[in-house]
Amino acid sequence: MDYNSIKLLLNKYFDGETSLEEEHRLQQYFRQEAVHESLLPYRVLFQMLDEERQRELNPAFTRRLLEKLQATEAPRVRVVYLRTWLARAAAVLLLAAGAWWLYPKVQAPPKQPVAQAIDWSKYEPETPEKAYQMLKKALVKTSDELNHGTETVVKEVEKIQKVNEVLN
Amino acid sequence: MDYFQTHILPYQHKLYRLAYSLLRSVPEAEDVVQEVFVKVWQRRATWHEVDNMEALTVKMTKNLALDKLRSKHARTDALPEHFDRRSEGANPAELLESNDQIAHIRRLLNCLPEKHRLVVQLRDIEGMTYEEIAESLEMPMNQVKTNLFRARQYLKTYLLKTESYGLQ
Repeated sequence: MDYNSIKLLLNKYFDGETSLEEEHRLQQYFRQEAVHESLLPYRVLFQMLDEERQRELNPAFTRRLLEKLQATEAPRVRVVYLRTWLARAAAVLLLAAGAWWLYPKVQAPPKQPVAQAIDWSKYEPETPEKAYQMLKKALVKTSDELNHGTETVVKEVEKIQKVNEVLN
Repeated sequence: MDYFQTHILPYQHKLYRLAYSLLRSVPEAEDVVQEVFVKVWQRRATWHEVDNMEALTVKMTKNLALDKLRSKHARTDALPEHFDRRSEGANPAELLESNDQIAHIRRLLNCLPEKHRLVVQLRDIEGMTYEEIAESLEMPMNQVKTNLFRARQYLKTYLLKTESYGLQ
């Protein structure tokens, strides 16, 4: 790279207008032995930047760091795992308890006493005479009940009349 | 662990250089890098939500290193010699005492204000784009460019002064 283009690049660099690629070209230029005399004052700057770029961590540091991180990995994962499963188990138990409490109320119909089926065949009259007797009994019973009802009404009316008499 | 080793661990040297550029202490820079990786590891359940892991780790490193630097200053109640360009070390006469040219320019860099040092570190040493630097340092892009411009101009001025003193 010729002197003039480097001089232009260097001016751009100090004005803060160079691209990364142009800055890389400047670094390359100042790494070589043959630097133009008028540019020598700047070489030390690029040499210093090169040296700083080579500063690195000791590999032992990286090894210790990874060991430290790995040591913290297992317990954390186990705790998270346990917590997750505990939470899941608690959720399942809660759902089961809720279902146990609700299910009978929703599903079971109210219990009603169920009458046994009547075998009406036992009461069927076997002959027309028996049927006549049964009907006669039923009518007599009905007549008795009606008579009893009339008597009751008469008695009640008489009581009301007596009360009316006392009041008047 | 595989994902960590292939996608996150490779940033370790870049993070170390960044921490070292602020703290200028190997054990302290290592502590910062370890703390960053442990924190990232602890948040591994959320890795899939991170758009740019490199920017995140750089940001964490910068913040932790600055916290460490400030707490160190609070404890000692004194600024280190590299802390600010306008403290000790910025005096050209002192700088010229160094026969080691690279050490000399390194000291110049260390005397820059914090923001200038950070952008030079990420651009000129790590080769990051302006967008990546802006995201990592949580700094608007125009400020990134301004800080870089000022830092380079500062270095250029001192390089030329050194040249005029006849040390190069």
